[in-house]
Amino acid sequence: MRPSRRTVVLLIAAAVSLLLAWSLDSAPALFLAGSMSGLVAVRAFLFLHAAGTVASGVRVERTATPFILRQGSPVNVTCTVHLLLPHGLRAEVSDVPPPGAPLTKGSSSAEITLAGSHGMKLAYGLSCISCGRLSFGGVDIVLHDPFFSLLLPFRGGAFSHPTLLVDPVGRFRAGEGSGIIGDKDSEARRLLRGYGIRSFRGYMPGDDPRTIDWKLTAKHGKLFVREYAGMIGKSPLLVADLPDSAMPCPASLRDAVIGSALDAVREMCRMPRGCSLMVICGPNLLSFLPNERSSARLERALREYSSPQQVLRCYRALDPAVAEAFRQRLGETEGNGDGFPRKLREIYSAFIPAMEPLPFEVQCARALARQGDTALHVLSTGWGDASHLAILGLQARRRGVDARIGIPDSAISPDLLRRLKGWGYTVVRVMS
Amino acid sequence: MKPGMTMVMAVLAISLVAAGALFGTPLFPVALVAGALLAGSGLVVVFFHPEETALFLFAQPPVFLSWYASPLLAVALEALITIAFLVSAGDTGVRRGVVSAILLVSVSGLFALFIAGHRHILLPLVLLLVVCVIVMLALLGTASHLIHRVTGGLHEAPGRQ
Repeated sequence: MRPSRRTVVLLIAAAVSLLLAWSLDSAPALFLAGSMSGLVAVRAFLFLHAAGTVASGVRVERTATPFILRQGSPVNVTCTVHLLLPHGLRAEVSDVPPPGAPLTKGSSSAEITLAGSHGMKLAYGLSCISCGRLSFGGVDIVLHDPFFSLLLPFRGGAFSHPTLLVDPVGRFRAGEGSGIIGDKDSEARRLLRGYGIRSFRGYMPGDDPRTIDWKLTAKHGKLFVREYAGMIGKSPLLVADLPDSAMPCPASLRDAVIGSALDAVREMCRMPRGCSLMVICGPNLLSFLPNERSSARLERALREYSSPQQVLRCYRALDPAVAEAFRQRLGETEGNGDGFPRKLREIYSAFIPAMEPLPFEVQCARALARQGDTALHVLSTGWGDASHLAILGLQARRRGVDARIGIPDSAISPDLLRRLKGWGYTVVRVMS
Repeated sequence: MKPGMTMVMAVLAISLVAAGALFGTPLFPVALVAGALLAGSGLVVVFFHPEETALFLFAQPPVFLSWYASPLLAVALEALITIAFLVSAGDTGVRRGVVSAILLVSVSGLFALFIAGHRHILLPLVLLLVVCVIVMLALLGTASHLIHRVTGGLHEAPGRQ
């Protein structure tokens, strides 16, 4: 509760009067001090009572169109605040937009000066820069009377609806290959989109503007987009490798993976055999949806685990076949008479028969063993331990499945590229 | 009517009544001169920079002097200037204005009676300070309860989940 200027003046006068009364032993000065402070106190109690009356009658109706959108897209918000304002009060009503969503048009605040029942309508536009589930901050009402002002911050479920679902922008970078990726890799960047047009449909919010067919649009007077037929005849397995929320992975990398995965599943779910999605967090299988045609289910699976916690870890996990290869290689060098390779070979010989596949290896093997899967597409941040990527790559190579991986631009390094090649990934794509 | 004229008229009336009540006492010339000066200053304020709070404070010296004529008269004059202040602040015809005026007259009357019954002001002053602290705590508690009610007990920042 903030005192107005006149209240501050009255309080100062009361304090001065009190000092005079104390120093001069003056009864009238004490009376004046008591009167002025009493005036302020009574007004404060009455103001709080009126504010309580206002607070109990506030109701908010808010609509946001669209509420599922792409990062950076505009949102039109209409917020109606119903309140009963007592006489002698003035109210400033402001709607609090979600953080990271600056105002682009209109005003999110207004003032009410007349007493009575009001339905204040605020219409404004936002641009969602942040991504994820964004909730509105609520409604702020500042009440003023001649002596005090008070900010009533209405928060909580009823005042923060609706929640905006903002998908991150994480498309594969178009254009020619460059830098460490090379020209050959750039050809595969449009892997999840075919080149033949399968059908046309009406434009929906969130569609890539580049897919708009301008000829049809001009002919019919409404927006049409092209649906591509890519990957027909194949049923790729898409693996979204989400980073561990307990690790300090940059949010931009996570957003790039989720955004690219959302892009991919939206296109793949329209294919004849639907989309096979595997959501993992390191060697932890979070969700597996084989041949799923519902984009809502696929998107929900990605959003539900947008910040998972990695329960199991497999640092430097060794595949039995790789260990056997190491053992044989050590056998070839044993003739040198060096004692260490022989000792190491003995160690390998001892533990290789007892090696059991990890649960994640079994899960990968089963997912890749389904009929018709001819390609494996992994989207990963490339952050932290990558043993699970090695398991995925080796399992794919063992079954003759073409393995490709998408990594955010900022996470790619020559060392990581060399390791990915060793694990059996034929193409490394860049996510921007 | 020019804004603040009600207050000036109240200041003038209070000055006249206070001076009249002190007629025949050594304080009469002081009350007369103070009343004239404050009423004149009030007119200057109204014509050049209308400010109700300043005019309210201008009325306090005559009220102060009227205490020596009669504490009840001081209570009545203080009530008069307070009501004029509330009317000038825009609380005319508002129930809160009437309630606050009645409450103030009652409380200040009781307080004046309490002070007048003591030879020294030490006890009333201590009592006033104690009451002020209690009232301040009660106000903070009420405001805190109100804020907690409207926030629904949520204190974390909204946003990305």
